[in-house]
Formats: sequence, structure tokens, C-alpha cells
Amino acid sequence: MLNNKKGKGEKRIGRPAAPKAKNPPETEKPRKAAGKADGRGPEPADFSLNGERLTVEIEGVNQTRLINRLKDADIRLIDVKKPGGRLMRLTVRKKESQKTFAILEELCYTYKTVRKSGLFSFFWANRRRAGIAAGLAAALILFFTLTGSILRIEVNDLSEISRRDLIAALAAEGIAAGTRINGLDREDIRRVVNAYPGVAESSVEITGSTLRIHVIEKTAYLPPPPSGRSVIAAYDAEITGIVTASGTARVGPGRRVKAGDVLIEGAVYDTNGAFMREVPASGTVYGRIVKTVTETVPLDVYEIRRTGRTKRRTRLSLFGFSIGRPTAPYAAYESRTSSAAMNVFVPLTFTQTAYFETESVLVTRTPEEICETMRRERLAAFIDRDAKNLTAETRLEPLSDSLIRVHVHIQGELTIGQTIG
Amino acid sequence: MSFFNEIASAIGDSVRTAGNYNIINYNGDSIYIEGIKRLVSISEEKVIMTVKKGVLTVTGVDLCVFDLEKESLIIKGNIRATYVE
Repeated sequence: MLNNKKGKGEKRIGRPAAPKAKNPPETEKPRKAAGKADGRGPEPADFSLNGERLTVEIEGVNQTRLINRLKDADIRLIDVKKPGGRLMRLTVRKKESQKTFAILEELCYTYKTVRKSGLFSFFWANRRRAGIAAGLAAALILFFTLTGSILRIEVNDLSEISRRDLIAALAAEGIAAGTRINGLDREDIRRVVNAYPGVAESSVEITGSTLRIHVIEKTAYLPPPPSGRSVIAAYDAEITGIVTASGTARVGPGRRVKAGDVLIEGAVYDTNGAFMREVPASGTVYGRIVKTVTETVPLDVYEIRRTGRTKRRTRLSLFGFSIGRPTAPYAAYESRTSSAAMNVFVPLTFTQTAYFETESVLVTRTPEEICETMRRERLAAFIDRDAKNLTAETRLEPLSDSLIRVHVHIQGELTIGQTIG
Repeated sequence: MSFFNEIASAIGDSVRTAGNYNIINYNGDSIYIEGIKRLVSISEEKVIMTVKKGVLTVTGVDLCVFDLEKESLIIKGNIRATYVE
């Protein structure tokens, strides 16, 4: 701001006229309000806690006279600097600025305010950034508010209890997201959780803004499944008799069972049906089976038969290396290999392979032969079942000139139990 | 009683020393002067002021009148010398 008062015919009573500046400005510049720069926008403002101050740039001579005048007017001058020539900068308190400007005008000095400092000046100069400042302040308030509150509740190790229900129960006791951390007591939270139905024990920890609860649920007592031996049905049958040596019989005469059903359980129960202990199940279960086995077989089959010719090959092995790689002497063969180790001086292994030449021979069977063979084979499967009145009947179903289907119908009474476990 | 008057009393020459001028030089970086009457000259190399009995001169480099009140001032800079004529 430039200020230049011309006193046209003006007299000051009791005081000599103020001397004019030696080098008045060539052109009179319009007077502007004190404290304003010359049209270049507001002055920069510095953040300061030393109160509101103005820095004034003064142009003129005999600056020590001005300083003394200001000093005598009880104006505190701060940071007086002379950048050079006729310029001088000094800082005054804002409350003394009007008095300072009056003296400057009285002494006809050219001056302008170049800087301000202080809290109010700083924020007023940056008022356009108020939105950003307000947002920053709000973010800081939100941050400091939330970091002191529970933001998340974790409940671990739940299987039967609903997590949502447990959290709702905590919220009913005032323990929820948003609760101030310093108002929470871990022991109180633990008591609330332990009082929830189904909770046996719990532990509580607060990490940052997360409340973590570890729950141990109560579990209903379930008898362990019998892990001892059990006797199951090997066939579909009708039980005709059961002799239990150990364990508990689960079936009785007349009961129809399927293959795999438990006949004798490897456990003992008391008269009330409560499990007592495990035992290895054993016993004999008789049943009447009615079983039909169906098989489709060709009339002509190739059988592999040995021709009678045999060759042997021997291979030596030393330190994992083999000497003599035997090659099969026949196109089709069966082989049998044997080996022997001899550790006298060095680990030496002898491997001998015997090759039996084979050939495929076409064998044509009659349907009756096939049926008889199948019948005998099916009956032989029950040879160790103490079978009684076991019979097998076959029924032939020709499918083509070379293919037949044989149904073998087996029935009789035998032991059907099979021990597992 | 001012701090300096107390010291003057302790020295025992309160009539002569009190009420004149007092100087405190802080490590040669700043100087506090009490009892000035008027400033005569200010520059970055020399600050001259009148005291009750004489002219006080402070010489140095990058001198700056940091704080000036009615009868006291603080000069900052590289203080080289202070003398009274």
C-alpha cells in the first residue's frame, strides 16, 4: 500500500510542519487502506503464536528519526531490518498498527504492509481452504474417536452356537461395535459369554479395535461308537439261528438281513441299554440263503497252456550294477524268478529266471459243461460255511451261437456271519 | 528494584551505575541494551545509540534490531564489539 499525504495549506498547531521526503515519488499513487498491498491480493500470513503482528515496509530517509518517533510513542518495534538503500522493514503489533500508520503518514513516509502473522491472520488468509481444513479436522476427530472404540467383534471356535445370537446377547449387555474400549472389562465380558447357554468356557482379548472371544462349547455326551470286532452278514439271508459267544446279538431267528448288516455287535450294554464297554464280537449265525448268480460266458475260450519247453536265465548283480540282462526267449511265456545273495568278498547277487513257453489254445465247451463248471464253482465258495442242504441249480439261456448266459440258483442253510474290525 | 539495580547494589556503586545503561551480551549472538535514549544510526554493520552519558556503538555483522522498546532494545547478529564514547 502506498500512502502519501499532502498537506495543502494545512497547518499543525504547536508543531512544526513535518519535513517532506527528500525524494518524493515521481507520481502520486492513490492512497489505499492501511495494511493492504497495492492491488496484488492479500498479504501472506504466517502462523504464529506470538500474537497478531504486521510487517511494514517503509521507504524514506532519516529512518532513525522515524524509529525514535515510534519508540517514543511506546510502539514496540520488532525485527527492524534495512534491506538496503531507502527501504526499511519493521514489525509492529497489530494493536499498535493504527498508531504506527498515523505516525508514518504524519512524517510522510511511504509504507505498505507486506506480511501478517498470527493465528487469526493465518486462518483468515487461508479461509478458502476451510473446506479442506474442516475435512481434515473431521477426519482427525473421527480417527481419535474410533481408535478408542470397538470396531469389530470376532467369535471363534463356534460349531453349535449361532454367532449372530451370541453377538446379539453381548449387545444386550452393552458390548457391541462402537463401545468405548476403556469402558470395557474383559472379565465382565467373559462372564457374559460364559452365561450364554451352551458355552462351557471362554477367553476374551482386545487387540487394537477388535474384540476377540474364544469359546469352548458344551457338548452332549455321546457313547463312542463300538470300535471292537463285529459280526456282519456276508449274504442276504433269513436268520435261522444265532449263537453269541461275545458281544451283543442284534438279530434273531426269522429276521431277514442284508449283506453287511451287523449281526453281533462288539459292545456290552446294561439292562437299561446304556453302553458299558467294548468287547470283540464273536459267535455263529445261521441263515437260509437264496441266491442267484448270473454270468454270460462264451462257448469258445482261449486257454493259456504251457507247451512244456523251459529255459533259464541267470543275472549277476554287483554294487547295484547288473551283469547280463536276460531277454525272454519265448514270445508268450510264464516266468518264475528266484534270487540268492552271496557276500563273501563282494556283495554279489544271483538272479535266476525260469521261462515256461505258453500257447493259447482254443477250447470249445458245450453248454452243459459250462453249466456244470459254474455250479461246482459256486458251491465251492460255501465250502467252509458249514452248509446244510445246500443246492445249486443252473438254468441256461442261449444268447447266440457262441454265447450263453448261465443262471446258478443257490439255496440252503449255512453260516452267514463275517467278522470285521 | 530492577535486576540490574539489584546487581548494582550488590556491587556497592549504585549512585554511579544505576540509571545509566546496562548491556548483556548473549554468546555474541544477541545483545540486550537497557537505558538507551535515542537511536542514531542503524545498519547491518553498526548500530549507534545515545545513552545517558555518551554514545553507545555496537559493531558486528548482519546486525538486526530485533526488539525495540522505549528504553531497551535487543540486537541480533554477529556481535563483534560494544563501546561507549
